[in-house]
Amino acid sequence: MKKLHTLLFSATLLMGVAAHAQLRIDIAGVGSNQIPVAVAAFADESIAPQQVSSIIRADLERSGVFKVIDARQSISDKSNIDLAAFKASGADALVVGSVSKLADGRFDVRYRLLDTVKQGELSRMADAVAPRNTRLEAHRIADDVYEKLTGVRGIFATRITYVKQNPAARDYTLVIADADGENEQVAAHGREPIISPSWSPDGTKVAYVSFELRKPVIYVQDLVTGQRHVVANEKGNNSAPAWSPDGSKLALALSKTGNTQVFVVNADGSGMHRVSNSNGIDTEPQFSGDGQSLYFTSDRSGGPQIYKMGVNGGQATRVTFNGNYNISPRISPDGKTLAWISQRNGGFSLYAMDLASGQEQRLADGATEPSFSPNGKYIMYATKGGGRTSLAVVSVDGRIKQNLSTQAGNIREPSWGPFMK
Amino acid sequence: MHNLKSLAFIISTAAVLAACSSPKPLEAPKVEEKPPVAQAPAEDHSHDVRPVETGNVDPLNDPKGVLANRSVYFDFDSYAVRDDGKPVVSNHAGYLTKHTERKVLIQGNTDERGGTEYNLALGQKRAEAVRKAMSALGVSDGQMEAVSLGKEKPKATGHDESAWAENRRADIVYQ
Amino acid sequence: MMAAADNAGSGNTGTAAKSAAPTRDNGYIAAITAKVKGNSSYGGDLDQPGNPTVTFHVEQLPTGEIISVRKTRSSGIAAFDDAVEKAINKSSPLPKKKDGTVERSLEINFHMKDMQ
Repeated sequence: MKKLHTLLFSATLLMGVAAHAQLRIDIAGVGSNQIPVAVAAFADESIAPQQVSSIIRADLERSGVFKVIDARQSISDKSNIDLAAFKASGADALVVGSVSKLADGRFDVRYRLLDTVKQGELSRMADAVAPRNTRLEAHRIADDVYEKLTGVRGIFATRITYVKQNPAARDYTLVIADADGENEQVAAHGREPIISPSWSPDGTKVAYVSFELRKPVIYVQDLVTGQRHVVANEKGNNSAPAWSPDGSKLALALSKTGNTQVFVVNADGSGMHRVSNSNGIDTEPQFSGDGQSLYFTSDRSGGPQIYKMGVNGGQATRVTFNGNYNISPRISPDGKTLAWISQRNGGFSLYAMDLASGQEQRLADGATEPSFSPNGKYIMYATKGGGRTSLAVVSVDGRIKQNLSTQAGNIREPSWGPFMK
Repeated sequence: MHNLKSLAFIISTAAVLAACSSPKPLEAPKVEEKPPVAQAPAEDHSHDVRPVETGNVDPLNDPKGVLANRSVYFDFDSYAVRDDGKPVVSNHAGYLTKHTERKVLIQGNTDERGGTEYNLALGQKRAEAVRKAMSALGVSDGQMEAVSLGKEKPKATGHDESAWAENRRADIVYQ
Repeated sequence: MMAAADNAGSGNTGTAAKSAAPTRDNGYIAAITAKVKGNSSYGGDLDQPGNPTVTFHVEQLPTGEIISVRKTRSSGIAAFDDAVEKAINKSSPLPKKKDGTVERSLEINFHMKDMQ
């Protein structure tokens, strides 16, 4: 009997006393990588020219980061909301709001972001906007939702530029559009090609190359006034303009010395000086995020590869080593990732490299002319399909890929604009 | 004597007035000492023969002349003037050395394959090859500018080797 | 051991019976795992060195209702910690064992990546 008690006691000790024992559970692999968010129609939103909740819903869905749940009702920011019911529907967060008309003709757009699990408010905004800015305000709200739920600044309110062309008709247009491809406006139009547009860091100007003088010449155009000036028309080619991060300078590719080399010039065209030094082609310069280095394409070793040098020139170090044809370097805003186009197995693909480790990842096939979003999370590029060129977006980790809501025509040479105030 | 001087004066004045009414800029009237020939009856030119130098038409404008050919073609991935381009180079070099007031833009092109900016630089190499060849034949630098259109203005719009071969080209464009 | 054998099929809810529970009811662990994992979503970068893991101590009532979620070890990535905490809270009430009982205390180790 005593032996049995001892055994029982030892067993109990070994097994632990249930009230304080913990069952250990190991879970591996976070489930969906999409955050479920419910979006309600905004109260009275049909009085405004654009349906605010639809634009928010489309932005969040397009980001690939959210699973958007339609709340199937209109909910005002002033309502008392049964958050538990939304939590039960699987949503982590709920977007609600309202639109009302002000005496001066503007719209008062209000929104709240609510946490269904913690049952509290995560964010709110209230802005008076002109009717024509309703769409922009919806994008700003979507950016707020994105930032509050991911910790990363959103890009829905940013703009892009691209070239739309019909060469057979000798028709070329430089277009400014919203990041979702909507709201197209013409910045420049003519009968000769336009290539290599590049946004100024403050988002007010675009530099581009025009062939209207029967040779490539670089212009900088103020978007609001339409005024433009020639930044470089040296003998030979003038192309590949790229702004320094502080907007004071442009790096360019000029062939004035015979072969194409990298030069730097002040934004007003003064102070031009040569920076690269090789007997081959050096082109496509891009400033690093700190403005201290230039990445560029060079065929000094035979085929084109990507190199890096100081902004004042000097020794260049090679960055790409796989494949014989690597062009179009682009640096992420945080300076940690290089995106570029590589020709492998006969086709052109978009690659990204973690610069610290050198590890590369193929993101998209049939891609050219990449451009980073200002939050560094997405890359826009040109792609061919169905007999024409159009724009697509891929996330930097390769998981999300979309085609831009495509307008008709051949579209290429995208450049993603910066965050605007 | 007095009458002759008056006559001369009247006629000079008439000449001045005639000159005033013409669209040409006013020139100082020349006072002729000889009797004015203008007032004599028209001469008989019906048997004149005016000679023509054949080939005096600017050869540049002759659609059947050698200078009508202004394109130099290149092999794939090549930036050297082929043998079949050398006559084009030498013909235009010959013209430009004789007409030093004429200027040319040499526009290099590539086929459609490859990146936009890199192809712009490759097209430049073709234009530069033609420029150097013409310079070697005596054409002055001030008369030539080598530029590139890259793959932006293809002449042939197909997507096969025959279209690509047509687009790998440098054109001499007179300004 | 005799105690364990005695209690395995007894259906008692006394303390003695609970102390014998650790014949691991894998069905119970699987049910909790599935619910919490299914409620988890994380929009951050999965491309991390190693396999970041966060540990939570969870207390629940006999009804399965979660009454306390306490982080005992961070993964080092705040956003991931938050996502897992949210997933646990969303999973209340937790599933029960076949016999209708629950483990009052759980230690949940959530690893960011699937274990190969």
